Amino acid sequence: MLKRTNIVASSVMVMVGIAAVNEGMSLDIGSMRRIGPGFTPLLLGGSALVLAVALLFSRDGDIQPEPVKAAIRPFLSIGAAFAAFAFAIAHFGLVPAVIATIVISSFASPGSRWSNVTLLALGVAGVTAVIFRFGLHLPLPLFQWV
Amino acid sequence: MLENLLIGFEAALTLTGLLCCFFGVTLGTFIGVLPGVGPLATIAILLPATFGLDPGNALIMLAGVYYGAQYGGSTASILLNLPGTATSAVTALDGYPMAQQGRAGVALFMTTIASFLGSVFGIVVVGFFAPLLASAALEFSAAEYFSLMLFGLVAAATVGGGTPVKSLSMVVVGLILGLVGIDVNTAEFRFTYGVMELADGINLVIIATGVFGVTEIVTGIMKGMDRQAVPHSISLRSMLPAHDDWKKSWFPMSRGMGIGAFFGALPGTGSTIASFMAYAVEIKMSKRPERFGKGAIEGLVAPESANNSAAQAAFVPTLTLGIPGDAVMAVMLGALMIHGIIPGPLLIQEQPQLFWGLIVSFFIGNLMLLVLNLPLIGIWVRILSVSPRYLFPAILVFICIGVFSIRSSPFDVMMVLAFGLIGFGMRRVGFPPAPLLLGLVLGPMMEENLRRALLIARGDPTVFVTRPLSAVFIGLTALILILTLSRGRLSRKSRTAKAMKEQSDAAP
Repeated sequence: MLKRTNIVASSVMVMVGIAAVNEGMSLDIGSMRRIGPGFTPLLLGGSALVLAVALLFSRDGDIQPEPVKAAIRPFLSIGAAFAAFAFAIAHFGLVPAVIATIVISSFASPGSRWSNVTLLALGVAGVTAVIFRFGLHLPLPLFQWV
Repeated sequence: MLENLLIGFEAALTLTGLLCCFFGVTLGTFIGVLPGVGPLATIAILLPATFGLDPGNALIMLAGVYYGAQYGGSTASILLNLPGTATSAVTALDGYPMAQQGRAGVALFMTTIASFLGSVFGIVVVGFFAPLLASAALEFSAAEYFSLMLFGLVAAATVGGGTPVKSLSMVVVGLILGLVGIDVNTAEFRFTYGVMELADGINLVIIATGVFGVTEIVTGIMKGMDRQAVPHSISLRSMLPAHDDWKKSWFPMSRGMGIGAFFGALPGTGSTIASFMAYAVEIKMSKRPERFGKGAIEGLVAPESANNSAAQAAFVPTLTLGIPGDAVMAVMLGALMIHGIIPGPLLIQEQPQLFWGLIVSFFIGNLMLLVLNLPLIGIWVRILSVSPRYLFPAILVFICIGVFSIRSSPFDVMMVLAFGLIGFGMRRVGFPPAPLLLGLVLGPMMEENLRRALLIARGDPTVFVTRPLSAVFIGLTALILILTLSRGRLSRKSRTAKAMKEQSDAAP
C-alpha cells in the first residue's frame, strides 16, 4: 500500500533525524536564554523525524522520482576518475591529473573513440593550464614528479 | 536616482569590469546552452577563481553567468528538446514544436528579444525597489530576520515545485549540513565525527557542484544522453519573425515580465516558478488554448521574458535583505560573504558603488547578450553537436579543478563525488536538490539570529509572535503551510471519493 520510494525517503529522514538528535543530546543544549550548540541539532532532528512520518503518506508533486536505471559502469568510471584526479593533482601536477580524469571518465560512455578521447584530454589539459594557471594565477603546479 | 546611476556607470565601465561582464555573460550563455551543467554549478565552480578579483567585478562576472544562462538555456530547449537550465524546461514545450515546424530561427530570435526585454524590466525593478526595501529593512532586528528567513525557506519548499514534504525535508537536511563544523560560539565540533577536514564545515561550492553538476552528468549518462542525435544547421534569414508573430507576442511578453519580477523579488521563489506561472497564465488567457504545446509563440515568449525578469529581480531580496530568492542566489550570497561583503540593508548605503555598479553592469551585460546571441546562434548549434560523451569528461575536469583550488585539498574532490552520488540517490527518490542549498546557506544565519533573538528577549520564545513584523512573517509561514498541506489532502480526498463512487457505480 505504501509506495516504495516513500518508504525509502522516510527511512532516510529517520536516519538523518536520529543522527541529529543524537548529536544534539551529546552537546550542551543550554537554556532558552542562552541556547547551546546542541539546541539547533536537536530541533532540526525532531523536525526531520516529524517529516519522516509525513513522508510515508506523501503524494508525488511536479518532481517525480526518476526511475533511472543504475548501471555500474558509469559509477565506477566516474568514481575512479575523481579518485585519480584527487591523487594525481597532489602528486603529479595539473596536466597528468586532467589527462587521467578525462581518459578514465570517458569509460563511462561505451563507444567513445580513442582518437577523440586523446585529443580531448590534451586539449582540455592545455585550456585548463591557460585558464587556471596563467589566466587566474591559481597555485596549481603543472608537472610535479614527486 | 541620477547620481546613483552615475556612480554605477563609473564603477561598471572600467576595463576589468567590462571584461568580467563579457566573460561572465559569454560563459553563462554557453553553460545555459549546454544541457547538464547549469548556472548554479558554473557559478559554484567559478567561485574560487574569482577570489583574485575585487568584489564588485567578481559579482559582475558571476551575475553575468547567471542571467546569461537564462538566454542560453532556451537554445538547447528549442533545438534539442533538452532544457539547458531548469527554467527553460517550459520553453521547450512550444519552442521545440516550432523548431520541428521549421521555425527554429524565429523561435530563437523571439526568445532573445523576450529575454532582453524581460531583463530590462527586472533591472528597473531592482533599481527602484531595492533602496525602498533596504530602508524598510532597517526596522528589522534578529527576531524579524529569523522569521523572514523561516518564511523564505517554507515558501521555497511549498511553492517551488515538487512535493512540499520532500522539499521541506531537503530544507532540513540543508540546515543540518550547514551546522557541520565548529560552532562559533562555543568552539564545539558538530557533526564532524572525528574527521578533521570537516572542522571548517562543508563548503557550499562542494555541495552545489556535487548535487547539481556531478549528479546531472551521472544521470545524463545513465539515461543515455551521451548518445543524443545531432541538430541541423540554421540559416540567418530564417530567423526573422513575421509581423503576425510580433503582434501575438507583445502582451504575453509584458505579462511574463510582470510575473517574473514579482516572483523574482519574493524571497524563496525564483525564475523556475516564474516561467511555469507565465506559461499557465498564457494558457488561461488565450482564446484558443489548444494551440499550446504545438508551437504557439505566446507559450515561448511569455516564460522567456518571465525567467529573465525573475533572474534580475531575484537580486532584490539577496542584496537588500541578505535572503536569497533561489538556490543560485544562495550561492551568490555565499560569494559575497566570501569576499567579505555582508549583504543587507546597509549595503546600499555603505557600498553604493558596488550596488549600483552591479545594476548598471546588468544592463550592459544584457546589451552584450543581445548583440552576442543573435549572430552566434549558429556557433552554439555547432558546439552542441559535439556529443555529450566528450563534453561530460571535460566538465568533470573543470569541477575537479575548481573544487580543488578552494583549499588544495584532495579530500574536497572526493567530497564532491560523494555529494554527486548522494544527489543521484536524491533524484531516484524524488527529493529536490534546490531547497537543500537554500537551507545550507540560510542555516548558520538563522541559528545566529535565533540565538540573538532569544538572548535579547531573555529566553522568551514568544518574542517571535509578539513583535509585530515578526508575527506577520510567522503568520504567513503558517498560512502557506496550511494552504499547501490542506490542498494536498483535499484533492486526495476528492480523488478517493471519486474512485469509490466509480467503484459503486460499476458494481452490479
